[in-house]
Amino acid sequence: MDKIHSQLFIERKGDILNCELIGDWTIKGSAKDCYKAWNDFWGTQDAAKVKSCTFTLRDDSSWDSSLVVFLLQAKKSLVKNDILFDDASLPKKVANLLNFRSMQSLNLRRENHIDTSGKFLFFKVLCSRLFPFFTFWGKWLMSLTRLPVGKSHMRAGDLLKACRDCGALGLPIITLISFLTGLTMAFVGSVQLQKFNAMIYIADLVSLAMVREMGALMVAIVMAGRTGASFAAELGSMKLNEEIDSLRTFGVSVMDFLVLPRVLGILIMTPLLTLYADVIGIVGGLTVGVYIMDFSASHYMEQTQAALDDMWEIYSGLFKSVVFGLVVGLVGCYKGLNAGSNSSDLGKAVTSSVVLSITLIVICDASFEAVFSYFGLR
Amino acid sequence: MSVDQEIERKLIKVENLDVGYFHRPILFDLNFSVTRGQCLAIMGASGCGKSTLLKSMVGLLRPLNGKIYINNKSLWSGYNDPPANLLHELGILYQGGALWSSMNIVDNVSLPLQMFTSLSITEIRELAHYKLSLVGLTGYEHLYPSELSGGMRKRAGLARALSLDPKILFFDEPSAGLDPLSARKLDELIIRLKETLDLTFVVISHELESIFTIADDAIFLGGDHFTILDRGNPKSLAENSMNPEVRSFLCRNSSTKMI
Repeated sequence: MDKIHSQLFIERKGDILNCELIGDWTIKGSAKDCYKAWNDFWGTQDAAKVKSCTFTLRDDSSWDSSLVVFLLQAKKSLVKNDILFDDASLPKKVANLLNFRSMQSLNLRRENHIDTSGKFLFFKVLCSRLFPFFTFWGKWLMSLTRLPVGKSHMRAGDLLKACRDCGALGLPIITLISFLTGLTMAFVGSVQLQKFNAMIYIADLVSLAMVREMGALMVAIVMAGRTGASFAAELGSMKLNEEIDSLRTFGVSVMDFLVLPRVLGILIMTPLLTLYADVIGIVGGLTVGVYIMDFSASHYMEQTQAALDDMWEIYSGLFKSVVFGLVVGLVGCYKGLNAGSNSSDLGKAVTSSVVLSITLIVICDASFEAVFSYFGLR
Repeated sequence: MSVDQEIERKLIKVENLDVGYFHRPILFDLNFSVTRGQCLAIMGASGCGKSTLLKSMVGLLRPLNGKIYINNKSLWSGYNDPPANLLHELGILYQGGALWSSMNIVDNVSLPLQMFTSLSITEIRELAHYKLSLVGLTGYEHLYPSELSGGMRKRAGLARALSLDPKILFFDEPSAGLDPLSARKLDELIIRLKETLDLTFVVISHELESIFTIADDAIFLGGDHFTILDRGNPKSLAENSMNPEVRSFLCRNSSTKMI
């Protein structure tokens, strides 16, 4: 026998509304028409006279949770309009399910009170995100001031380990990337300089670009992807395992013990790595100069030396790299310590640490260039 | 016993405490105290806020209202985190042990000693080995937490909690995730430590068997008012509690009220 589609008959007798439900009230069939019929009825003039509403289910009809959901919605709208909901003639099982659901909703007493309304919502949210980060920054500075006084919980071994992790172990990738950067710049520049027959200036181009800009930037981006992400993942998983909590309950300052050695390590190592990257980048340019353009190595190096006559060129790059290192370290640790307490939050924390540090690096870089050129430091 | 002595004997005192997260209170108006040498069990249905209360009592989560006194000193005075010397009177065994996974277990036990005492390295090493022997982990000192079983991890966590000779030990679900035999061994260990080291315990648990074995006092949290429903010795509560919810929890029958 084919199942009959779910149907709803509504009939008003005086102030009592009789609703008869027949047919297939299961999740496989759709009760869309019945919802429509129900809602349409409440739009008519008859609706105002209703004081109570009785539901009956015909014996041969089949039902599951889709019927219960319909009745719950009906009940909700009836209760809102002060109309009595009469489930006496419904099967006992259906009535039980309805009451089960309504008992649950009574227990929802706990509520969230976060103000997400009103004007300036964007700024409120922005401030609520930024404020903790600046607090973190401040706490780190406080922790740094405790270090020379000898009150810090930092262990020298942790600092050395952090230096090794982000410095020495990062050398291969830094070598590769900065060598190729220097090489690529020399290739690209040589095509342009050939037009002016000024090929030897390739040494100036590579060395200045490397020292001023690319060295610091490339190191910072590698650091963000390598070290910053590993800080976030390490601290995040420590938080997940309650290891951070157990440090705190021993009265160990998490800032001193975990964050300070890592950020100091990266702060010490980034300028050194940048200097190294500058040299390797220049070597990359030299390779192109010697093997493709047939300059002698000594000629190329003399030209480079003349280009880097002003030490400020080098210092500005190193200064920028210190700031980039600070940004990467602090963002990585901040995101790790504020990771949520499940494994997908950990992944999000690592991703957002990399994204945020690269964004901040580029913003800082642009700002430095603007400030330097405004004060004539170029 | 005079009044002063009575106050002196109260190692933990909680007054009008509300705990919760941000502006969402979970438990209201808690008042209780723990006497020296006692073992207090904190019970309640899952999600009633037992762990949140524990977090406030060990200095991880600032309570929304009220005071917690440890040894007559207020834990949450001022705006800063609780002072380290007060925290050293507390030892905590976390649910999963929460050992520092980058160090082996003897370093885990030594770290607090290195940080907060001026002992020599050999003394620290000796002490750490002694604490590990107390929990029966002699011979496993150089293993990393990831190489230990769940029960051993908990015992190592217990050794670390004991490292600074605290007066009070807190346990967060000591028998969670352990088989009945390991759970009973841990309970026996707790009782032995209590007798030999003269410690005070606060245990969060809903394992009835272990509550009846180790606890001599209990508070029961929850209900419609989100506060203490009843307190007393767990065995006598099971028989004589005025509150049907407490009775049905302790006797494992659900006939009184469906929740």
